[in-house]
Amino acid sequence: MKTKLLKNFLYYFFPILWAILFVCIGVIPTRLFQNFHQNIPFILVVIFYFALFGSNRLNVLIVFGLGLLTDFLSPSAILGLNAFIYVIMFFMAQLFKSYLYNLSFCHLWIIFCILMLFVDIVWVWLARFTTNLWVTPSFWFVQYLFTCMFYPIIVWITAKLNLYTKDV
Amino acid sequence: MESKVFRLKRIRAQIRRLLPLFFLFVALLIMVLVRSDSPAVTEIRTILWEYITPVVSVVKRPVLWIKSGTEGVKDLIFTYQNNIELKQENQDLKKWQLQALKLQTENIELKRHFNYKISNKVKEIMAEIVLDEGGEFGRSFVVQAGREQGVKKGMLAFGPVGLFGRITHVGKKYSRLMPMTDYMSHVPVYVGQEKKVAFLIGDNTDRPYLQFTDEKEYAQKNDIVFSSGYMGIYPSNLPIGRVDQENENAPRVLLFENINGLTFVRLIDFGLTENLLSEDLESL
Repeated sequence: MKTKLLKNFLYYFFPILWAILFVCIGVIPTRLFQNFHQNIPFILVVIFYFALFGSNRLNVLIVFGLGLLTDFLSPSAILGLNAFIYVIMFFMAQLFKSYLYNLSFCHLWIIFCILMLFVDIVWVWLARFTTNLWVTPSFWFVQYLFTCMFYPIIVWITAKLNLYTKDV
Repeated sequence: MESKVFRLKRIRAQIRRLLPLFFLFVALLIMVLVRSDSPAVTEIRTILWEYITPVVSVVKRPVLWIKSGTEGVKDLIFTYQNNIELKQENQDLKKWQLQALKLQTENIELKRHFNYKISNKVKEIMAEIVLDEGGEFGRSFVVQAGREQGVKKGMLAFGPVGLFGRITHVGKKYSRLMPMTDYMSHVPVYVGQEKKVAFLIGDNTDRPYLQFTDEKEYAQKNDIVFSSGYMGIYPSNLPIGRVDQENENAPRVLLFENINGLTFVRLIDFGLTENLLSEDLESL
C-alpha cells in the first residue's frame, strides 16, 4: 500500500517538484558577461516538455503558480510577468500539441527555439511597458541563446526521469 | 441523456481550452494593478524566501564547486603574474600603512584635544551571504541573519573593503540586502574634494552611474565618491568608490567593494534608521 502511494506520489508530483527545482535554479544569477548578471529561464524548457508529454500532471494552474513564485522570488521583478510568460509558453505548446506530439527530437528543438523567440519578444515588450526599462539586446540574446542551447540536455534528463517515475 | 453528457463534455473541453487565456488575463491584471514593492507583496516575498533559501543554497552548491574549481585552475596558471602584482601592491600598501599610522596618531591627539566621545549607537552583526540572486531587473543578496539576530531594516552592509548596500527586507532568520548596483538604488553622494552633490544610481551593472543635481557639474576620473548623509539613510563621508569612466551625462563609478564573490558581510546599524519614517525607507 505504502509503495503504491509512493509510486503515485512520484508519478504525479515529479513534474511539479522538477519545475520548482528549475524555478530555484532560475533565480540564481549567472555571470556570463563581465558586468552583467542574468538568470536563464530553463524552466521554460520544462514547461514546454510537460505541456506536450505530461499536461495531465502539470496543468495551466500550476504553471501560473510557478510563474508567480518566480515573480515573488526575483528581486524587483514585475509581479505577474513571469506568470504571463510561463502561461504563454504552456498555451502555445498545448495549442500545437497534436502537431508537435509526433515530431522528432531535433524538430521539437527547432520549434522550441521559434516559440522561445516569440516568448522572449513578448517578455521584452511587456518589461518595457510595465517598468519603462529596455532590456539590452546582449542581455536578451544571451538569455535566448543559453535557453535554446541547454534544451537538449534538460529535455533528455527530464524525459529519463519522467520515464523512471512512470516505471517505478 | 447521452447528448447531455456529450454537451457537458464539450463545454468542459472548451473551458479547458480557454483556461490559459483566463490566466493570461489574470497575469496581465496583476502586472497592471499590483505594485511589486507594495508592503503586502514585500511581506509575502520575505516569507517565501524564509522557506526557499535553504533549498536554493543547496541547489547552488554544485555551481559554487565548479566555480571554485575553475578559479583554482586559473590561479595556478597565473601564479607568476599574480605574484609580481602582489609584490607591487605590497610596496604600495606599506607606504599607505605609514601614512595611516601618522594619521592615526594625529587623530588620537585631535580627539583628546576636543574631548571627543565615540557614539555607542553603532551596532555590528556579521552575516553569511547565502544567496546572490538577481536578474534583468535587479540584484540582491540574501544573508543568514534576521530579526532573531538583531538585524534591522536600513542597516548598512560592508564587505572587507567598504560599503556596498543596505538591508531592505528583514525576515525571521534571513534578510535581503540591496547593493548599490541595483536598479532601485539611489544613494545621495558627494563627488570629489569639491563635494559636488549627486545621486549614485544603480542599473544592474557592476558600475553604477552618477547623476548630478546641478546639470553643469561633471566628474573627473579617479574622483572619490562618498556618502553625503542627505536624507539620513547613509551617514555622511563614508567612501563608496571612485569615478572610473568619464562620461558627460552619466559618469560610471567603480565601488571600492567588489561585490562579486562576497561570502560574508558586516551589517552595521549607525542608529540612523530610528529617526526615519518607514515611508522614507520605502522610497529610497
